[in-house]
Amino acid sequence: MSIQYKVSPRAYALPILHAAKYSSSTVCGVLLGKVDAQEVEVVSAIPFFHHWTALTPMLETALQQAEIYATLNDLKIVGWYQANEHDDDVTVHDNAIKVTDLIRQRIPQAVIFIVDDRKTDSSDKKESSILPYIFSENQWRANKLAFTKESNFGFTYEETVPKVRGLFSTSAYNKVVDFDDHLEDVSLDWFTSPELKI
Amino acid sequence: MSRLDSAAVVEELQSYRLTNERKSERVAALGARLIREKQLSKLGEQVWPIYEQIAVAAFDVGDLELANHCIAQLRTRFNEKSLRFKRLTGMKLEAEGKLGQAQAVYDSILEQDETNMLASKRQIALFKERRKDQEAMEALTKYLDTYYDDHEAWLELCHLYLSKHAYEQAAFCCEELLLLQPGNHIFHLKYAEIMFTLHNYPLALKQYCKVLELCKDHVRALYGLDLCASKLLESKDTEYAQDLHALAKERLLDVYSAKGTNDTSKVVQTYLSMV
Repeated sequence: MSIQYKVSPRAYALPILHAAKYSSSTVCGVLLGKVDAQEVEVVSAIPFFHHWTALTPMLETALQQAEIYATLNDLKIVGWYQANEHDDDVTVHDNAIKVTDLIRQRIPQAVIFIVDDRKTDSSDKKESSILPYIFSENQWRANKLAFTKESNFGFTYEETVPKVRGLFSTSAYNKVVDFDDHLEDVSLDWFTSPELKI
Repeated sequence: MSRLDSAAVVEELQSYRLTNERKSERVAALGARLIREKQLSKLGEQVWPIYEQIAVAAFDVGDLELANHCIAQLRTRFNEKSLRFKRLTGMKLEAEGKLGQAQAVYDSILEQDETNMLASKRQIALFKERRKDQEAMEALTKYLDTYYDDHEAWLELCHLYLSKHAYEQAAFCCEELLLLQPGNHIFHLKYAEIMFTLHNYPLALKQYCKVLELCKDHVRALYGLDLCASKLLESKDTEYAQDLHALAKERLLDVYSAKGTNDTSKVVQTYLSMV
């Protein structure tokens, strides 16, 4: 029995837009969603960092605050996303594994989204820029068939990929707010990036 | 664009050259406008650093047409005898993905002038682009043996060490940075966070306090202070942990009540009420 993953446009868009805003850096954040026995619905994401991603104090703070926000909104932290510094590096790095080990303690079906920016430019209008990883048999494994017809990963809205691609034309990525941004200006809301309409 | 606007744009571009901020999207967009509206010719000799700046920004955002236009303009005044111009042609090759040819350009600059910092740095950047991080770190270390006061290079080396989780070596880079700029609160902050990552909470605490001394109510440092103090509450060696813990929370609540949104303040209040 394989668990179904349903991904909403916002959960798909945020990692990609966050990566676009800080295109020369590693960016990362958590995924929020709802879980039941058969399905994980990935509803949204909270962007965390675009620098000092190897350091831990603000990670501790961000995780705890994200947890509180999730609970207040009847959601759970269901995974992690990351866009590595080099755009053709679609592997899961140590920092991502460490954080998701913690997440998996509560949500065994936790998922990691790795941004594959080479796909964002692709002429195939339906090709996904997110490569999901699932933990099975003691390893994180890439689900390369994700978002195709046969896969257990699907979108809640069929035109998600072209819709998100369209957001680039208005430089919507500049409206993403992450925790690093928030720490420099606490009037910016990093939980919801309210200026960003998806 | 009125004449007033173009002066403001030129000033804005200059401010980015001074601070060395990487705002490539904005610079490329502003630069393209200045060129389109023919606002650059009247600037005389002032125009050349601007063309260089727009070219570099254009490389960064992948607008090779804009970059080529700038280089063509620069070529009316300079040629490859200027090592600074030559470096730019190397960067153009990098942007086009022709790394081998770019390498050759930088090698030839260094043959003419082995102290040329611009070319040395591009060589290090090429190592990074080719995923040769070990070679990049070695080249940087060698560079810093000579140019030990180049804080940009220390920051780059620190970044490379951190990407390899070599925290002790990263800490060493930070210590050099602090010797160079002891009043720079961001370097103290970075050092504090590296110490925290190494579980050296007493030193992290001291450094967070230093940040707050240099920059009042620095939010990131307040969060760090709160975390460190909470980890040291049971420790007998750290005096004032409890007081600092309370102070950090008090200052954070104050800052958020003045500037935070309702939603974030709610989360922060819950967060701070946990130990």
